[in-house]
Amino acid sequence: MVCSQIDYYRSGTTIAAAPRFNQAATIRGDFFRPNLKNPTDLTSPQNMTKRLPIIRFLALFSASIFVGTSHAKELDLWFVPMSQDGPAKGPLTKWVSENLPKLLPGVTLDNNYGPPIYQDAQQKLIVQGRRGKPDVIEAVLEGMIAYQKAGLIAPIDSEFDKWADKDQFIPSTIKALTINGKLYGVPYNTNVRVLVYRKDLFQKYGIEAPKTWDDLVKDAALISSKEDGVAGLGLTTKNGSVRTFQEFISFFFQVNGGENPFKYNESSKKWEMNTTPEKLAEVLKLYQDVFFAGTPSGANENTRGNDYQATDTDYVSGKSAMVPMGPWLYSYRLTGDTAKKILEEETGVAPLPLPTGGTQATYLEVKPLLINTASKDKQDAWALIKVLASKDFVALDNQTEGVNPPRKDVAELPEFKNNWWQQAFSSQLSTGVALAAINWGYVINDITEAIQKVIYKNSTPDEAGKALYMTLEKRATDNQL
Amino acid sequence: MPVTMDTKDLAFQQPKAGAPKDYRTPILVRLWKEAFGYLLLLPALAIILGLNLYPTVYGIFTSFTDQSLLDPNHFNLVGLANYFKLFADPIFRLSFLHSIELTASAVLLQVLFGLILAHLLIQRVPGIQIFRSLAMVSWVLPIITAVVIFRFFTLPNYGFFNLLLTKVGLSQWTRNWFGDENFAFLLVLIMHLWRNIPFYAIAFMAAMQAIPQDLYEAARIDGATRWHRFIFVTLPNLRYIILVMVVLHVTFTFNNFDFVYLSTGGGPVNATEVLPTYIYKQAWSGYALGYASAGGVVMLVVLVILVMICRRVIGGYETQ
Repeated sequence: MVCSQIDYYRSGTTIAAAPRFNQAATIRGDFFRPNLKNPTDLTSPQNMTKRLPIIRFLALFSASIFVGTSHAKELDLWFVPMSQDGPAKGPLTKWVSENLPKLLPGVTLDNNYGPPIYQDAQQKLIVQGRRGKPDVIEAVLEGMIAYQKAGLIAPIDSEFDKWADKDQFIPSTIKALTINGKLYGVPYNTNVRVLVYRKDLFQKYGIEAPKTWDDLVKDAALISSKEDGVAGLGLTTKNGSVRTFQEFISFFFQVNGGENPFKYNESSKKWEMNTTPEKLAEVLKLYQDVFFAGTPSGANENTRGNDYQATDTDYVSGKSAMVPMGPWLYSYRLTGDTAKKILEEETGVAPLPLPTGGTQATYLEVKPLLINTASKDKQDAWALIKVLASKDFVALDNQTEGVNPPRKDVAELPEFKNNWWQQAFSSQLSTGVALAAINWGYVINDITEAIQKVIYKNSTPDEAGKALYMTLEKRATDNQL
Repeated sequence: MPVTMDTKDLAFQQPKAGAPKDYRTPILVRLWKEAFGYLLLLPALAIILGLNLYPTVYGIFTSFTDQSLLDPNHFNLVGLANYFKLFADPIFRLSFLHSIELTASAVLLQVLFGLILAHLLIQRVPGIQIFRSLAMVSWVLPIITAVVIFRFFTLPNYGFFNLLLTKVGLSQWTRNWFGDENFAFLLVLIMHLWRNIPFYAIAFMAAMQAIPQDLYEAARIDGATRWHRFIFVTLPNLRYIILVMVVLHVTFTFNNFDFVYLSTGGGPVNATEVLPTYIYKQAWSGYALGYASAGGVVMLVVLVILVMICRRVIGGYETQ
């Protein structure tokens, strides 16, 4: 059984008998002991001829030991959920320490799983990745795109094609990790943004989950006016925040026919704009409406500039009635009775409301496992990726983190199939749109700045949309993407 | 009793007749004699060259290239293009202005409140030692902790300040303080003051304790009031420590990244954007190392000028 697992994960790598090393050392010690009676013996041609076969044998034997022991390597893995002090750290690290010796004998992992924050990991990898460490990297999609542009990650098409599990992965998640026709990562974790809402409050006021942006603004304002201390809608609007961007881009995909704001032009080999100033302004108008339409407005003006922690906490503490959200929110039920009651008994999940004439689309998050181009042991790195993207590990991770499985066989497990929360998000996976393979760093800053200009009344949505379009267009022209 | 000195005592200073004069010693011979001294200097010199000079020179060189962090081995020389682009960017100009405003206001207020706090801490009252120790707490705390405390206190729904305002009937004033473009910059300034004033106070207090009491006694006899004693005795004796603190904190505040980045990220609507956060974003959002280096060089030049101004102003006062 162990052998079959070894073959399965290691793809034909043979393991030499490392314990023989000591025996070899003993033999070598005897052989090289000088002949004190006649020291010239060692150099005489006759003796050399006699000893040649033995020398050859020992040379080969030593080489085989060297090759064998060289596989007993310590790989360096950067894996944020195993490094960060969150609910996943304990179970995941325990699983790895218990199962890795059985699944990948001869391979050990450095106990330090890298920086605990994706942004830090990304910066450090860009600076030091060319040294060959870490061998395997867990990342977010935006990070993977930067690594690919920097030539830091290796394509894995041929290895993935040979893997028996390849058909288990949901095609949209594989597509998201494919850049210029090459696959760079294996997904182990995915999710989409949906509308999480307080169904008890909606029932109380006889309304249903909003299906259009107009309804969203109207319902949010209604709840703000009726419920003391509760904002109808919670949004993340902090400057430069990735979450602010993810919420915006989810609404934007709906306006833009489920397409990215940039499109690659094969003939000019450049990225070009794939939207209009009006479409950008339409999304910004939604922000203006939720913050300023109605008295009181749907979103609390005092929460402008909120980061994701405040958005999450506001919802689970009953301060907001709707949020565009990912599945991680469910893990907050462990933080207190109020959060547990709200999430388990009073929460509903619906697709994001649509603008007039919009397309049902949302931001697709995929977390991949990648191989460092400069890794000195890519074969074992790939073997490790297969372990971390295996059914058992993915099931454990996805259940602990409360996210959706990118593997079909994991999604079929009872703990996922019978979980209403998981199902509510999984059912929206098909509407997820992956980000284009550009450097999103500047774009995230540009978009969050445009949002802030509108919600702080420095610009109208039309002005901000036009300015944002021009900035993005210039970035594309100047090859900054 | 007058002290007399025999001219023979100075004899050792005069070269003996016929002895070779030092200036006649060949320079190489003197260097050889002093070689051991230079050898001892070598490690320090190597560290300064390797850790300070090389990165600075390389940073200046990078500012004339289009080097990207994503492909650092391939770049072109672009001359002054990064600098032209930098000064054409309105957000850079705004960040520059904010940095100057923040540095000037923070350092000035820190000196002022530091003097006041030092004056209070130097009083001989029972239990003052405890206050002196407690005063340093804010300075000892890591910046991230300070920012988290401030952010937690100013949260819109659960923050201490907002709860307090609600309790006293001023709920219309509750807000996300760091998310308010009128208050965010002020809060960043307050964080600087909260952290650094105790450090100034302790430094000033130590210098005040070293001022001879005779000077105060003489001033008192001459009829000087408390205010006069402070202006004409205390302050002149604190010039040197003030110079040191000002130079240190002009550099610290102008270079400070943590307070702004961790609390507001430069927002809302660039209301708190300063040069370090602006440069950081260029380097890590756009991976534009050459462009970010140009920003760094501008900062370096401004800092050198600021420090020279500080030295001139306070040093000039000293010569008077």
